[in-house]
Amino acid sequence: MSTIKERQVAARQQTSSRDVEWVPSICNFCSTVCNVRVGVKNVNGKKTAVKIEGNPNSPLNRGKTCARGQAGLRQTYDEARLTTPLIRVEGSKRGEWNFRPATWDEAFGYVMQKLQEHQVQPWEMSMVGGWTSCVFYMPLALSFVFSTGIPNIVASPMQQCVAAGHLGNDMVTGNFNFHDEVLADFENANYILFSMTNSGVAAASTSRLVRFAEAKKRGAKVVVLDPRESELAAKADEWLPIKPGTDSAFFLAMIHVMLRKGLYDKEFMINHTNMPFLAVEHQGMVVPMMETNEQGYPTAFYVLDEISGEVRKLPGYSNKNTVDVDGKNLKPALEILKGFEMNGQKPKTIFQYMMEQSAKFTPAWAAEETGIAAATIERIATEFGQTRPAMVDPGWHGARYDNILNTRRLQSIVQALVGGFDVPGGWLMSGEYREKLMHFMQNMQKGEETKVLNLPGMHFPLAAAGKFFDPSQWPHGRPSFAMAHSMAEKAAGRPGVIFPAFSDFGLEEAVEGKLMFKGEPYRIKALLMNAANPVRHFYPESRWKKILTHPNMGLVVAIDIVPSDTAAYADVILPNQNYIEREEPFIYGAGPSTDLAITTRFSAVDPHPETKGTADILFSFAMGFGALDKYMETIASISSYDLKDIQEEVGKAVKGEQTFTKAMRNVSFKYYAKEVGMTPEKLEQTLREQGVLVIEKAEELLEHAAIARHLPVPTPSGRIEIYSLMFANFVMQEGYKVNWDPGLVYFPPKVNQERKPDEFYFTYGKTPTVSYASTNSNNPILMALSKNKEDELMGLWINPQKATMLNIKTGDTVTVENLQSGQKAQIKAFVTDMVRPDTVFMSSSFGTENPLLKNSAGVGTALNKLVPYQVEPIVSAFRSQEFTVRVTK
Amino acid sequence: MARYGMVIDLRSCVGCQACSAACALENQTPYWSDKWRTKVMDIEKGKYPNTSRYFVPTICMHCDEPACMTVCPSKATFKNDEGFVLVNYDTCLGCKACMAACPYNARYVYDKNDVRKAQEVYGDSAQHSHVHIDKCTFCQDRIARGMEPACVATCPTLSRVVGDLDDPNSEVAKAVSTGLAKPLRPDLDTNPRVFYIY
Repeated sequence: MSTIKERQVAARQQTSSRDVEWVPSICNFCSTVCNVRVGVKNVNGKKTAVKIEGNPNSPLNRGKTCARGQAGLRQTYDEARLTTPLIRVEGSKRGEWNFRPATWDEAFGYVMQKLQEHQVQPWEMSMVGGWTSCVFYMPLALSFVFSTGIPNIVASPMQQCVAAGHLGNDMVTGNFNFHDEVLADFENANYILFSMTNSGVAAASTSRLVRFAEAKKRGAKVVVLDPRESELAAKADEWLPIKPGTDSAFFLAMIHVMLRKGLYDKEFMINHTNMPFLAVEHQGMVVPMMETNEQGYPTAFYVLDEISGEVRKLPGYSNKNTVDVDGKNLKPALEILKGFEMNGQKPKTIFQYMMEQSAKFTPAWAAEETGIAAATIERIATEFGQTRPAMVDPGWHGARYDNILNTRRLQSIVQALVGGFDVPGGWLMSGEYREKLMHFMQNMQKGEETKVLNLPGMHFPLAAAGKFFDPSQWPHGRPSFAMAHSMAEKAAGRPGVIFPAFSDFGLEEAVEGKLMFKGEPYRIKALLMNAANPVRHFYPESRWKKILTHPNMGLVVAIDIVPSDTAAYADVILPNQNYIEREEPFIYGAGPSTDLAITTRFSAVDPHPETKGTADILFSFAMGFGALDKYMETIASISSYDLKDIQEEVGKAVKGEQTFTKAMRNVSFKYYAKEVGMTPEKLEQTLREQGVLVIEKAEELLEHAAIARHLPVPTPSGRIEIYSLMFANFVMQEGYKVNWDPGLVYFPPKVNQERKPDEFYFTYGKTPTVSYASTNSNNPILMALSKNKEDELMGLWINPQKATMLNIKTGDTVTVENLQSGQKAQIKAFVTDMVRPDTVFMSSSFGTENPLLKNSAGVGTALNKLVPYQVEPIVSAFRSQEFTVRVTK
Repeated sequence: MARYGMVIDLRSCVGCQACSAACALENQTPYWSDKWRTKVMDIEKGKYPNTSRYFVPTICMHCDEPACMTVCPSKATFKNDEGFVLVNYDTCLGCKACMAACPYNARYVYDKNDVRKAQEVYGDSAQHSHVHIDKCTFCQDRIARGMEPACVATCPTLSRVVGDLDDPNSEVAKAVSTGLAKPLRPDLDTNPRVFYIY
């Protein structure tokens, strides 16, 4: 027993979280959007945040939060916090940190004056958004551009991730944003295969990690394809150091083996995919036999009924193939006999075509491509096919290669082969996504339109981004500059981009005055950036520096919390409230939570008086542009919010009675209160106490709202599409290109195969301590954690087999030269056996330049010093690893 | 009274360092000097392609027979009622005898520079106002409030579990009694209360 004195000593040793008030919030450090609670107490009479924890009520992160989530509160107290509007000092150059403090009125006045001075037309502006704009301000950001006639948004998760990677999966499942819509049920899976990801689980997405940890503890088998031994690969039972960019060959061989050994869920294939659909060959292409409406959407497909032996007609949009257009039951055949004829044609099923197409993708063939032994590939395909539930991780981050969409599409096909959607151990849809899907179906049955922001999956980008592509949707008759550039490129006989959604494709040309639309220059003269840091997050750095400093660029406005590298290139900087300070303008779905749940943020500490919420900044601009009424109408027209409520609440904000943020929050609370059958006051109280309100549990939802089994998915046919109708449509529109082959196809990464001894494949990835957000690498705790693993986290990974030959040791400064573009950067070497000898790796997290960021400036090397501008032709995804590098000491 | 222990499950740890961050904020440890009460080692073994990578969180073992305690000349190191090994910051002379004695490298000096920096960062809420030898307290202040230690509460891979080693039904007792979880260096007879599953 301890003495009384010792007891007193122990009692005095109090920790930060003692006597705090816990305020619910949502982490803002990555798009996992964990539910957290902020511990606040009075320090020197000031409400101060002292600790953050995961919210134990969260169905998403289950009370846990990662290092970034923990350290996040220090952003609030960052020495470099922007606390007043800043205007560039007359005569100084963009890139120099030379600003004078200003009032908000001055700053807005300056913006308006510059827009006038440069005669900036609405289409000559572009918004540039970081991921928080998408996740938290979508209704406001989209409505803002629609109501002000600005047809341009460049959004930084799109070409790097959401469009680039996810869209491949989307072609199979009809999803759009996998981060928000899908949560892999690791904890119930017995076999988990990962490809091209570290960020999505181990580096670190807490909602995934808590589930993955359960799988590891239970002893699920984990296989990781990665050229280096990442945090995730370290947890694998089998780490397969695959040759970079060849993962699609691995998946094709898996499909080859699984189809031939019958290791697929036959019932699922027959009932819920387009595998049994009859198709014919036409000009070398497989084309399903189908009927379409005027818009090109399918209205009927054909299958052979195994029972009656008759050809039967199936509805064009449905989740099942076992009921025909007349309501009669049937059992579609996966395979039909040779010699079968219909209307003078000899159709086969899609399944049979897939068998034929996959014939050449043998494990021996894949071994040549991937560098993984044929026997290993064959064994893994067999184990995967024989184990239930088996799962391919949905993936995270795209870009990297021309073949990224194909790779992600093929991994989704492997997942489809085992029927792994909305079943235990499979890909589970989020509660919010499921609800959108149900409402969409109800509206469709009633013949009613669904509002843009409520559209599920692929319907959303087709409608929302589609508006940016269609000149007739805008009063000035111009599409986005990215679409205009794509049109111009095609007209000049060069490859364009089919779906340049929220892309920077053509921005440089537009700024330089080289982009022409209908015989006139299509210029971009002004950029309004919200929580975006393109100087760091787009490729290459030099392109954005050139864009931002170009004499034609009349105005650059940056809204941010701490000064990013990009903010240094602004003319006006508007200081933003951060996530623990602000009351959120909306209630949101709880990210990818499989329970249907809602959540929001509460102000934990008082914001600095001279900072504003993004909602207030956007409303101020809308008023400045004389578009307030239209802004409110547009918000109501694309969301569920009531126009009268908006007008009433915003009216009060205009009179100065409340902030615009508060106005939208009231509108949002009113709407959701009605939805959940509470008063707004009761809803507020419930969310304040719990942080999250679960409306329906996943188990209940899966009983009546599972995709495929109960609900059609947002693919063109409503089925899980092994054969992609969307890609087939691209073929009809644009002609054939391997990138949008609707069947099974392989195209290798376009990198030099005849490498010299000092020439390497280049790879990059994410660290657990820094995430892809504006400027959080300045966080002192995260930087300290990164520095104590400096070699692993900041170094260039190089295998000793090569390092010895090149006389390179850990800690040596080496020069990395991109052998395609000539870009060069210096970085410290980390000599390790944890990477392929033909490959080097670096992290994407460091290399900040703005000297105001005292903790991070000058630490590590920026990825975008080495990556050139090269994009693939579907969504202009960055081909950010498609080159080789030379490493010299 | 519960005999608290911790089991660290290396099978699921991915080295994300959430534990280190949580601890640093909860206990105001000097991250600015790269000093931590809990750290995660990142260990590489083997030659390519037969390479393994291990993440091993380190922390004070709260030994039942603490070598650090017996050597302390000012009796600043003591065990409280729960058996957590604590330091009386007021009477600690900073002589470092305990640091030399600890076989687990679980202690460091909270030095003058750290105290100054703590004042600068935390102001009036600074927990550490003078120089002492610092170490993990098992977050005894959180335990007293019915909460888990900060590192345990936040661990996204559920790699840290705490519980009563004397309660045969607790997860930690089960892991220890079945031999699944083992102490580090049992040969030193320190009887640690922290066990590892590997």
